[in-house]
Amino acid sequence: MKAFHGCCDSEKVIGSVSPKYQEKKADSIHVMLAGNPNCGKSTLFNRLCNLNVRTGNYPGVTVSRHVGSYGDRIQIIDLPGIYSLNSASTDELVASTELLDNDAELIVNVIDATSLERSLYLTLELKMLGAPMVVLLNMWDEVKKRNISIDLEKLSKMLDADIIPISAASGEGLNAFEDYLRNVKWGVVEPVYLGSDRIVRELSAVADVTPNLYKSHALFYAKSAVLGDSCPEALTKDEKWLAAVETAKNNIASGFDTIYQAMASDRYDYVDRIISECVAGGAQAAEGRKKSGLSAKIDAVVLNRYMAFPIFILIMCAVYYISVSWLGSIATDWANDTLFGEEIIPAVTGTMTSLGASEWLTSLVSDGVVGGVGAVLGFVPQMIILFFLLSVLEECGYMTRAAFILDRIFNSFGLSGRAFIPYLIGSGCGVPALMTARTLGSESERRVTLFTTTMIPCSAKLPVIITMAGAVFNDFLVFDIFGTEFRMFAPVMYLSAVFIVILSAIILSKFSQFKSSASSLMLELPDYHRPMLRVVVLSIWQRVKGYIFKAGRIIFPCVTILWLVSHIGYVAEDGRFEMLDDSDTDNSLVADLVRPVSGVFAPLGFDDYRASVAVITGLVAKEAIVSTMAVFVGVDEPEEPEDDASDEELAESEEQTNAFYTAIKNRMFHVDELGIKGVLAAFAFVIFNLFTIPCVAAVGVLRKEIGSSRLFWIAIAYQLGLSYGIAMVVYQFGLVFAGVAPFSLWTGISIAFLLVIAYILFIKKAPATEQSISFEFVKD
Amino acid sequence: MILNEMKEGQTGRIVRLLTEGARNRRLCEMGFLPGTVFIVTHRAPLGSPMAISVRGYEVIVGADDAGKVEVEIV
Repeated sequence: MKAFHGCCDSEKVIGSVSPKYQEKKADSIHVMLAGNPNCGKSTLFNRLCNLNVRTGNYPGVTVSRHVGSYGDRIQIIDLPGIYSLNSASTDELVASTELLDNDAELIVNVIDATSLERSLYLTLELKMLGAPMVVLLNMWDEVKKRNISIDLEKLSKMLDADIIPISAASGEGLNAFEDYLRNVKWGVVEPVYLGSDRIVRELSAVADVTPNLYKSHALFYAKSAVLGDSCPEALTKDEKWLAAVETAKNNIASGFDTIYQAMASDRYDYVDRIISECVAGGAQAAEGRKKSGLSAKIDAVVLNRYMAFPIFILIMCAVYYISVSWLGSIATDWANDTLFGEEIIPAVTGTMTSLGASEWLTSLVSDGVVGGVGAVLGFVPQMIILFFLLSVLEECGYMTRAAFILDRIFNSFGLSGRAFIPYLIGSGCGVPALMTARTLGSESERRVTLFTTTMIPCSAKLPVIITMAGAVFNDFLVFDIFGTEFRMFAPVMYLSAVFIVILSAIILSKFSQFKSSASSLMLELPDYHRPMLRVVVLSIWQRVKGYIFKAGRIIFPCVTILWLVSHIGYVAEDGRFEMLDDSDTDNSLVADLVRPVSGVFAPLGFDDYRASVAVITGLVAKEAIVSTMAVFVGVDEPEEPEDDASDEELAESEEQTNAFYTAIKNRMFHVDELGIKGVLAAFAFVIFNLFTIPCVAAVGVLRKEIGSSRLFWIAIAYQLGLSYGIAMVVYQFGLVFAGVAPFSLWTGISIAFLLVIAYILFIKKAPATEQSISFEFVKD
Repeated sequence: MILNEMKEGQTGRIVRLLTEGARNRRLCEMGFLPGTVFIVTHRAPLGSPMAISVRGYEVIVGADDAGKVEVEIV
């Protein structure tokens, strides 16, 4: 066997993060990481396999299993966190199913040693699976810091398992665990129920009559059957076994309110015994508040009745103001104007010309490829800022606090506070946001979240908002407060997104597919952590890397094809194709192809074929909208101000500098010809693109997560319909209010649309609440 | 007394769970069992949910669950 390498000489560790890393190999040894949510499994997994799966300081970050290789023979499988092997939400079901499939040669039970009592409940359940198990007492540094003393030898004896104290975050104790992996005895062990003799007797009675085929799991199935969990079908047809289960159930439940209470009490009694014998000070010490003093102090302020909302609003405003408006726009302006506009594009053009490339090739490379891809890459600095702030939020432990204070508000539109987490993640990227919806407690809540999370502007829609704000809305929604200019376009778009999500949640709650009781919030409040620089940097890198790769893999071919079809025209009289001038895209292939369908957007005002092409490329990736604009409008050289120009002329030329913006404004939306009409069309364009169906990647995840294809198509139709309707209302009403167009058929249709929404909101009754919570499990 | 009626900072003991089925099971598994002592550490600004320190950890409990737990003040 090849020697193992630890994290400390990490360059030698072979970690694979290929798209296929979800695959398990049959000939490997499978080591499964199991434990409560937020106990540090993924952090440990990342260290052992030298990978970088998503981590965060809130329960439910891992929503599907991750497989990583450790050495040549061992595969480590990171599972979503669970409290028990019965599971209510989809992510927990993934973990339970995986553990019950039982091809684990070793179960690694990761435990938050600072809340031993809570964690051991699952440990006792895992002992019933009959796989070798090692218990890792994670957060051992914190245990030492708080002067909690745990008798490891005694604990090991009482749990009949090996115990290794570690700190996954700092890497302390990992060597001991890796030694353990090297010397572990692989094989099967006897499943045991650790608890009172009374229950052992009852469960054994059931196990004794279990048919031989299921003998190895007899104990676990006995426990499952008693609790009413699903068991293999063949077993449920065995009369003798069924009768034994019934007897055991009645015997165990006698004297208790419910069978669940009987079983849970027994297990917690055993846990209490462990605590009182192994933890210094015993049960009394464990009972009080174990939370670290600092966390309690922060919570006293952050969760204070009067301070909670102001602090929440302040944090949210700070995150988005910094990343979207202030620092973010400084970064983007620099990257777009200085780096690309003044350095890279002229340099590329110069090089191409000096190499003697033909004019159209130069234009393809500099305007098409560099301009198109650059329009997207220019946003990388801004993205880094946004992802930095989001990952700090995820790491520090504030997410669950936000869920806590928002719960009541979310309840009023049928969601629980926990739904805040996917929406916040969605402002970074919709794909992980859609997957996070798995952790929500009820199917209806999941559906509403899946329908609406992608309406929150993600990092790829941010370039669209910023570009359009610069191009068209520079003179609108700008307020002068105490001499400082506040450009409100971006904030207004983010707020509209929140408004539309709320509107959607209320609309959807009126239909039976979405209406069941909002799941009750049951969420552990973790201690605050100082975000670790390493984790934050890695997570920014991972996300930005995805964005940059997308620019190469998707945007690059996209703009190249687009440039070609927009610069090649078909000349009917000659029956041949020919190259067109930059400004002549009106006669291009893409214009011929798209113009007939661009009428679809006439009611929204933007029926120019260029805008329609942007909408279509936006379905591939939202940032492609900006690239498309770059390809179509080209980037003309800004006019050099003349030497003797007056100040006024200089200022004017300053405005002219951004030729890209001016071109979008006038060529795409014809603001110079149409005036306010063009501005309204541009506004409708932004609204439609922000709230309509997301990019292909997100649509694929949506399809997988939503389960049924009928619901999927409803979701698509809903997103299309709503975004179209709202954009239409804004445009048509805008025309009438601005007095540039008379009342028309489309004004009427817009009014009808609003009436339908109003009917659903205010008159339609919500269907009767269903108590049943059902899950359609989506297998990876 | 019902858990929902408790104030921030009060310590209580669970008397009985008034839920059935899956909800009962979840409360039991989270350690909300008769006799268990707990502290209401926070109530959200709008009244619900509440944060409860029990068995050495802190958990958020929603209004509908908190309305189904009979408790006594310690």
